[in-house]
Amino acid sequence: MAKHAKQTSRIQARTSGNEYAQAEKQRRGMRKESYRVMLLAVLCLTVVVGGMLAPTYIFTASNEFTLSVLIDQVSFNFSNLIGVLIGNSDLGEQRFMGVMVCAVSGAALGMCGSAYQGAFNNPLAAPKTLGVMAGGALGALVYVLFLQNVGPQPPFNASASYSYEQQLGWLASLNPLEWLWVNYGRCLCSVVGCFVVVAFVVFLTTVLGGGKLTNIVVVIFGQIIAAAVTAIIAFARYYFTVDGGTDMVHDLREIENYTMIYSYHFLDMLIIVLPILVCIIIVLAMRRRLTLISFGDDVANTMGVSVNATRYIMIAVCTIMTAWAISFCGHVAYLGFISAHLARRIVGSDFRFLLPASLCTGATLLTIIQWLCQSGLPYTSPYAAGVTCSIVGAAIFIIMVVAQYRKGGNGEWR
Amino acid sequence: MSGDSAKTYARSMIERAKELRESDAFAPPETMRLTPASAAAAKAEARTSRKVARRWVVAFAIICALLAGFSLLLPYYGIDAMGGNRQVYSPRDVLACYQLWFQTHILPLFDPALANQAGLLVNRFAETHGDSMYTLVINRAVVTVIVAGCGLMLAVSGLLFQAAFRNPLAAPSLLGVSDGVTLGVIIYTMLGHANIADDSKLYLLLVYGLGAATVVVVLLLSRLMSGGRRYNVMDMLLLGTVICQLLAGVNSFVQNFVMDEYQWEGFYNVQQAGDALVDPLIQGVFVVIFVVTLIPALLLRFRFNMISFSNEFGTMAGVRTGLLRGFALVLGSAMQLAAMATIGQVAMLSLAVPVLVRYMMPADFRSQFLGNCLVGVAMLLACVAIQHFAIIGIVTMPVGTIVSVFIVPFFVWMVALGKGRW
Amino acid sequence: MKLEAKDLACGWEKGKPIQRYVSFRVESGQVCCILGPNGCGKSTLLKTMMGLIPRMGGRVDVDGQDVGRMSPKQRASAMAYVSQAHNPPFTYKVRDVVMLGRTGQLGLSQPSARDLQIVRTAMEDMGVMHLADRMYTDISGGELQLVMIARALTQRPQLLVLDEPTAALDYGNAMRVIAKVRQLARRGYGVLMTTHSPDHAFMLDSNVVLLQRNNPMQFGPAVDVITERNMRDAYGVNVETKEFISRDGQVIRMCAPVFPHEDEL
Repeated sequence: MAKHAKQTSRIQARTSGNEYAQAEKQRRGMRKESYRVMLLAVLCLTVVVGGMLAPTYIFTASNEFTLSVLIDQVSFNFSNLIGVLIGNSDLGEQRFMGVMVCAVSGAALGMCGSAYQGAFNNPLAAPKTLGVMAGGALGALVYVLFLQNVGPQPPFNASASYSYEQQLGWLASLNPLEWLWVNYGRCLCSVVGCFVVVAFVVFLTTVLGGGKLTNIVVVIFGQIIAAAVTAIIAFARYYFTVDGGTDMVHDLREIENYTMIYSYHFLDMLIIVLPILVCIIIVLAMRRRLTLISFGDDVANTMGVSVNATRYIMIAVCTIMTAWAISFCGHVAYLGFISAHLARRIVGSDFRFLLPASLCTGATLLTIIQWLCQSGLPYTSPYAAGVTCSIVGAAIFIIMVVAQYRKGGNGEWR
Repeated sequence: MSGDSAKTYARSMIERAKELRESDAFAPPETMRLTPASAAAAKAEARTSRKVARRWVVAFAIICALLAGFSLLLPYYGIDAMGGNRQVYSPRDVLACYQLWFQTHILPLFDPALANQAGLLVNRFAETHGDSMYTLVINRAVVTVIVAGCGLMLAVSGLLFQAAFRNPLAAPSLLGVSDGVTLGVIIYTMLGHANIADDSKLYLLLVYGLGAATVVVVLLLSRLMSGGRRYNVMDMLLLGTVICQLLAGVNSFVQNFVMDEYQWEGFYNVQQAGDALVDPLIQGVFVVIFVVTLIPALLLRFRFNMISFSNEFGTMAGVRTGLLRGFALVLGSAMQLAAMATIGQVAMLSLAVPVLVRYMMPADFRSQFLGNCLVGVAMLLACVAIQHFAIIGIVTMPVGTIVSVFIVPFFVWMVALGKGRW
Repeated sequence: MKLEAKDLACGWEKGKPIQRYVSFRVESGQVCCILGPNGCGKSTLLKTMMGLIPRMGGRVDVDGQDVGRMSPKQRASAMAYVSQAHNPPFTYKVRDVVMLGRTGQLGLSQPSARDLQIVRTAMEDMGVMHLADRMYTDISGGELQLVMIARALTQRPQLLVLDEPTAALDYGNAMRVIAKVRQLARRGYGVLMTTHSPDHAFMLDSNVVLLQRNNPMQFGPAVDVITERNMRDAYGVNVETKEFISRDGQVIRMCAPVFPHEDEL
């Protein structure tokens, strides 16, 4: 009997001792994922600040902003540097606004990519799964076809030369709503288009079909509606190209290329950045809940997380973010997919680290892409943001593939 | 009972138990006993399942016949180049054309003497009915048959991909077929051709070559990614998405920045592949690929059940699942490639039809194969029939657009029917 | 038919075997249970025996022929495997799932009336004929397990390999499965299975392979291997085995854990 007791107590001590040691190890330092997230954040900040300072147009003949000019301007003096960043010089303000817009939009897209992949539990889920991009294109098409000539028009035609002051004067004469429409009409239409398509998909499957939002059917339905909308848009473009005038052709071809990532007005930046920032904060606040949900609905429910509400909120917020980002920045939603995968390879699947990490990777990538577009490299154009995004994304993915092969292959998705 | 007798009782029970255990007669090595009763029951089962399958076949065959009939027989709209003129042929005239074709092509096979009369008959027909009607009608018939074949191939390729990947987001163009084809069309357009009839050989070469090359690249790269000689389905999916996106980006860049307007219109024309359908070389290649891909799919239709299960499951059942899955993907890609080269970009059919059929029919691959063949043919014939009427101004709506839009109500119906079931 | 392992070493990573020098055999008409604590390599051993994982040493022979050198079709007609987890990709009918077992034998031909007969017989043997037209996803766990064993039977193997057939089943379903396994063994099938309960080994009157992390493996009849000392070494649990005769004359052996008294803690 006594021997019995001694043995059992020895076993107890051994097991509890193990647990204690493990707990202690964990508490002694941060987890390695936290280190990686911090590293990524530092990298992101470096790239973003570097983007503000980096010379653009360095590959073109007219090198107003070459490296030597920049170095002259900055001359390794910190107060000068800060002045450049805040916008005390022309160069600074331009770069600061544009890069801020890029960084925040990229961060939003990256985070949406991770959030969608987690919500739909599918490695192929991307921000475009619910048809957001198709909706954006639809909105833009509607604007170009029907709404471009609605609302206040400038009192001078495009061919006549007008001065910057004239334009400013006319803009100042408008009331705020008209001013919004004139400057951002296309983008707002695009956003409305996104919402309409996503609402259509969600309504049909949840209300009509009585299904859950993250069901497989929603995904398929989203693809189908997106394909239908895209097909109609393509046909409409062709038809109006054949049937409309040269102006229309030019405008239609411009639909895909419109982007505001080179904007240099403070107000532009505010309008683009503020809503996205609000949404980012909301999603970041829901990180823990998302991790719990990824363990299973029942587990999450018993832990006090209302699964359905969280999912709906998250998808709604992500859609708003994506719609806003791609309406103002062009067709760069693919970035979300790539930066989500990149972040996953670096920090793993835990949402507490994955969401901040994908934020950083997204911001970094879009800043780099914007710089590439503006740098005047052959075969790039400041307007080909979407294309450069695809190419850069593919290059990164192939690098990941080769790195994985070197490591021995068989990296896991989850 | 006294102590002694209790002990003897217990001992005898133990011995008896041991005897029972050791004397168990083991069954002979033939472990499964097949009786004539079960054979008869199985035969009855086979008969009923055949009856059920026949009913489905008949139902859809009726639908396909109706649609084909609409395309072939009813008042028939021919559109010439300026888009304004519409020729209407009555059903009697069209039937007369078929009768003539039968007389000139089929009957001489049995009675060589009639072969000489063929020319006379055609001339006489041209006198009464006009020069171009016969050729137009017969061409249209051939085109309808090819379109039916395309529909079949698109639906079956979608089924193969969905069974292999088990992911509804995996469209069959995932391995890069449709983007490769678009790239081929772009190169063809940039080389100065505005329609397929210009140089159909070059078109074929570019389209098939680039489509196949993209698939090969994706497969090889995914092998690299999985490490060594393994093929991981998930890696293929991811890699396929990325390469598709890359090609799409390049395509869109060329379309928007490099092409001028004439080239863009030419590109659009070629992409609709309107004249691919009537080109004999392209038709011939399509028929060859149809036969070459459909026969293995037909023969393997039971075995293909295994590609949806894990490799472990399949290997232990005696099937080389990895190989089979790879073969299914290659078949699917080839089918999709041939269909796209012949009828243009109609990718939505491959995504939507298998989902619909899986909803309607049991999940066994044989039933799914049958269902997809029939629904694919019916749907594409319906969309092509609609295309006859979907003319806005001088521009015909492309088949791809019609298919994409036409599919939506079917899906809404499917979703509404399954209310509460998801 | 005899499946024999000689000095087998198995594991996942090269150079790090989980188990070494494993030797045992299973013959037609016998049941062999693999017991051992979590993580000691039960499933790994099973998969290595079947040739799904390359082995790290030793031999596995089926009637003298190396398992690794057999083609999938040959192996399928010798052994059939029922895995632990069943994830249906699509909602197949039970009848179609059981038919899947015939795929290995069919090649390019389509299932004939004889295949239907084999499927029917397998389902009747397992007692699941009444579920034939239901959906795979609609039946309970115990019925699912019996359906999967029926699927394995349609391969007409000589040996059945079951990976934890009673895990996640309630008591009634687990006993139903055990009863069927007894029946199959009596019919002449060999059965190799992993299990977490020593009682199953007693119920099936089987041979036992006891795997431990740091001690060598043991092989022998259940009465010899499942002893108090072995259970304490392997699981760290104090047990006592008892044998009694049931009312209808069968010898029943059980293994019961002994918990310490409260006041000795």
